[in-house]
Amino acid sequence: MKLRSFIIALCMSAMLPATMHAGRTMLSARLDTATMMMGSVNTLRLEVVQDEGVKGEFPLLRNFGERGYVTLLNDTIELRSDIKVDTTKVGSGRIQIDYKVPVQVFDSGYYRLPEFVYVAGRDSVRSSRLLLIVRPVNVKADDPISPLSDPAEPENPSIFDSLPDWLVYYWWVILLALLLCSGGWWAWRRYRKEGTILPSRPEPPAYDVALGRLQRLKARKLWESGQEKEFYTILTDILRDYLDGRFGIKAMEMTSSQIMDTLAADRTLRDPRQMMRQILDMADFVKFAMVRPLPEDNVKAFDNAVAFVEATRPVEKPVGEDEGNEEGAPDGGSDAASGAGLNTETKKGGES
Amino acid sequence: MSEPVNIRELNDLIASRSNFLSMIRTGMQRRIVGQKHLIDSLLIALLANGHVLLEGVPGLAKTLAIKTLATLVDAKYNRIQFTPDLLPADVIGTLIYSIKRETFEVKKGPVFANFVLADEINRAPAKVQSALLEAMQERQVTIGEETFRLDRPFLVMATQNPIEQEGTYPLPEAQTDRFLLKVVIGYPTREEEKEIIRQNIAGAADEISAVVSKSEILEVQKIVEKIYIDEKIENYIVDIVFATREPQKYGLNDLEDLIDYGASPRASISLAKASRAYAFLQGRGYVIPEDVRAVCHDVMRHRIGLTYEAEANNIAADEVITDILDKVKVP
Repeated sequence: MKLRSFIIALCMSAMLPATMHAGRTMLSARLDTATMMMGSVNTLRLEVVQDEGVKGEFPLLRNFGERGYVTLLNDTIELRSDIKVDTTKVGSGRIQIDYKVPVQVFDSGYYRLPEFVYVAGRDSVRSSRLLLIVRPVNVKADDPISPLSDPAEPENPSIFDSLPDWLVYYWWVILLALLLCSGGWWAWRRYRKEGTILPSRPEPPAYDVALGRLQRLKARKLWESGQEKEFYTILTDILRDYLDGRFGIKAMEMTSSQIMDTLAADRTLRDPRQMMRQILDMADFVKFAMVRPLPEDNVKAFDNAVAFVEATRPVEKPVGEDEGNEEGAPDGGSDAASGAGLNTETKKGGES
Repeated sequence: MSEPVNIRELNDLIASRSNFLSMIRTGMQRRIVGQKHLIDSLLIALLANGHVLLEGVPGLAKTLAIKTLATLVDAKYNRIQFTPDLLPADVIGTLIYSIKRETFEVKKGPVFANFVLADEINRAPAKVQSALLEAMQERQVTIGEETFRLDRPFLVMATQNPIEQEGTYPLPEAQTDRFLLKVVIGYPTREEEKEIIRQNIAGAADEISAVVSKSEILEVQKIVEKIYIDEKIENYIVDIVFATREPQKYGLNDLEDLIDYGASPRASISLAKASRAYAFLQGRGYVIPEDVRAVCHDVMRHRIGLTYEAEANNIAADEVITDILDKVKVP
């Protein structure tokens, strides 16, 4: 029993130093060179070995402020903020952190750096003190004073180094302006060509539009309610719009006689022209001479309007009809519209 | 409020009272070859109680036309040749001291006539032009302290020569505005020219005599004033006049830089009056858009101010008016 207790006690005492070593933080400090020229940059290397997962820091290097450095020994030694930190695992749950701290001194002399304190968790360690010799620049009293040199060129210049700063910072503004200009130019081209920016929907055939409007006019029963003038105004407007859409005749800006003269240019429109004449003559009487037509006249005018549109309806060509057939087609044909030189081609799409 | 118009009765009245028109046309065509537009313009001005400014090169029967018209109407005719040294008194008259009666007596000028030809009106200074134009507008003349009404009908036909501009006094826009019509006449056709030669070498021209009296003309003028103008026609006239002032609103953006100033309200009035007279010539008691278009160029061409750009591009007022008529919607 005593032997057993002894062995256990011996094992525990053997493990104790290892346990104690595992929780200890170690710090060492050294300079790349102990002798440096004033103004040049030396590197202070701080090497920390500690347990993984424990937060630690150098209180001295906690706050560099706006100046970008901290000073030691009454502002004679400067530790710069562009520190490089490298962490490596060393095994057994331990890590090694290497701090490379740039050091600059602007006064010559012998310096004994203070201890650097590292705080890791609830533990803190101190480094040894380092000696630094800073040598002055050799200046002879009779040396000429050199002028300030120009800003140094970058060692490996890229294309961006040759660009002005505003271009580098605001290139996106220029790109945006170019995109907007391109878009505007495209829209302007399209507007000039198409008359609109947005893609236009194909217009319905003039024939369908006219018949639809005529039916709506009939449904309003205008002349039946004593509004003959309104009736004939709308009736002639429908036919004028139809002439524009169907034949490209700008009838809205033409007088009745001008419309008749234009239609007379095509002899195949002789019969439909007579219908149009009756409508326009009656419309002029009603619109401009305060004439109240008889109901039969109104019915006749409306029927003539429908008949005119029907008579000048575009004829759909059979699929596969070649040009030879078109050339051989007679002028008049059985359908007044089919042979009308004015109406074989429609002005707006969707009618052919 | 105007009394309601019976178009049917008016048409009948016009048919019965317009016979003299064909006689006047026949009479004028016996003396003047061609120039149908000039003859119609004179009749329109006479019926609408307006005046005509005539532009054309010399020798186009301008003087003969108004002289013949005066003969056919049985009216007094005077011609005033405008020259740089003309005085207002030479046009309207003056007071002359009579030694015998020991008093100032009125000496009426040539403006006291029914038909006055103001030949080459732009050759007289502005004060003489103004004297005539005031008489045209007011239809009365004040000489000394006495005011005299001019006899009716009163028609002034002023001529301008478009080619000899040196030493002339161009009529200000405010004064050309007072002419109902500005008629531009051109050369006769080849056939008309041959007919002119035949007529002139044949010897004495045919004698013509009056076919209508002054009182009949005055009655016809009253009939013309009754000719019906529908509100749609009024709107059409207003659209045309407004298109000269605000062309962009009528889709005439191209005219924006060509028109310096548009037509005045007097243009609207003149267009309506001339359209009525034209409707009378057509034997109608109501105005239709054709009537407005028929007289539009003559009524409007001297009422639109063109810019320097238009003149530099040789664009005439007639082209501007044609563009407007082609764009304004017809009722």
